[in-house]
Amino acid sequence: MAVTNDSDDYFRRSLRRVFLSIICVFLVAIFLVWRIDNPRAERFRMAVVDRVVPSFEWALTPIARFSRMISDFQSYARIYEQNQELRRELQRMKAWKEAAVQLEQKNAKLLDLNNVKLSPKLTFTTGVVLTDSGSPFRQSALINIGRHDGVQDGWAAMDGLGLVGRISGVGENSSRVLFLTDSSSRIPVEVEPSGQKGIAAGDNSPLPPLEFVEGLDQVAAGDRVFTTGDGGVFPPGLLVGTVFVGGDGRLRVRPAADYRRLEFLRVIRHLPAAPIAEPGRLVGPTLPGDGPATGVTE
Amino acid sequence: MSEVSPFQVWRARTTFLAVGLGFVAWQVVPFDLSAGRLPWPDVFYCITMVYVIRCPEYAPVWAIFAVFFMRDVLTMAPLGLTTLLMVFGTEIVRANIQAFREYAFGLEWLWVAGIFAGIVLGGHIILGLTLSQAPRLLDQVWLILFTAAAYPVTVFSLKFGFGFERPQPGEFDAYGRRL
Repeated sequence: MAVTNDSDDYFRRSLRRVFLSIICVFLVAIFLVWRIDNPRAERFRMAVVDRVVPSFEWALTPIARFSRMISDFQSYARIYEQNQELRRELQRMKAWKEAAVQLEQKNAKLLDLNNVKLSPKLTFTTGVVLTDSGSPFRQSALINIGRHDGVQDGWAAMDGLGLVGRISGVGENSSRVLFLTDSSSRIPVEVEPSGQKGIAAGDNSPLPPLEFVEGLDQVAAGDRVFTTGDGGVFPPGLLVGTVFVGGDGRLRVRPAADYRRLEFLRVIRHLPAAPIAEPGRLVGPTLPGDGPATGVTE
Repeated sequence: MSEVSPFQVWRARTTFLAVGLGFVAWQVVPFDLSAGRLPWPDVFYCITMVYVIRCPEYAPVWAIFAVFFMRDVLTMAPLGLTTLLMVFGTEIVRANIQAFREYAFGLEWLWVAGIFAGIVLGGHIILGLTLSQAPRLLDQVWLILFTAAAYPVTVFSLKFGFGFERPQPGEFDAYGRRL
């Protein structure tokens, strides 16, 4: 009895060791694939997420709602100060509203006079936020519209007010929005009213730094930041946020979008930029016998 | 734990898997999507360690693999890396299970926190070596500290809520082997 038990035990232990090695080899392999052929691995991930997440969407949304209700309830504690603050703000807003109404009428009149058609590019579709990334690796969210609804990689996503990020990864029924706070997000922007151009480069902090601005002296805190159409990445003129000067004197963007309570995202349809079909060439003089150096393919 | 039938073992394993996947789902609920907030402690790591030290039968390596791999996939983490390190971490405990059972709680705590620090910082170094994007080191340090702080709480609540005890000497499992 004892003998069979021992050999049984030995068998189980060696089986376990083989199994463990298989798991480890598989994990090392998939990490290497993720590192080497990242787009393919991310497509695989998106396919898994696309299968899994919509199946427990029914659970996620109520939990998030409920937690928001609790935090709203907590804010009752400060209701008096908030009330006073809102009254003051309302007073100021009334003046602005008057100005806005007048401007709107003027604008409508001018548009009518000039027979302007608004850009048909800026139609949008709206999705509900399903999950966030839940880890410090990526600042992103999953929304419940995907290829089925015609969403494409690279489209801009906004909340009611400002730019949130862009679509990066599309599944059949869901797609991922990479926030502009993510460290791999780079968005060409323009600072109004000075018209200085720069890039809002996310760094996983709540206020993405503003890089490559030339006329630093023309940019002041509180200036408004919009997207530019540069490079065809985004439709121009979407509000990104306001300029904020950090303690270290660096220019940063305070996003207009409220990341703390994103529920719905508006995905702006726009025509994609020309796809990158070939590896980049050196920019230089055209050599004899060489194709045109501007990147035009025959 | 003195008399455990295979049915009970499988029920406990299913519970472990379900709890793990529940934690993964909880992690991706969109509470607050702003950047730069402090990380939550990795409570499921603590639970896994409690299982592996108290009753390793119920937390087999395939279940650990399944839960952490699912978490890697859903949380946009580098695929497979954290899972691999978690499997290594739990195997360290499994290989020295007798020593872990005889440790005073303080020493067990220190080891569990140390292994977690190894997992997180090891992952950080591997990401650096493969030139991948890694999260900010400061966030990782917070994660380690919070998780280390969460471990005694987890042990306490599992012990008094669900009766997780270290097996006493002389106990046997479902297959008649000594624990």
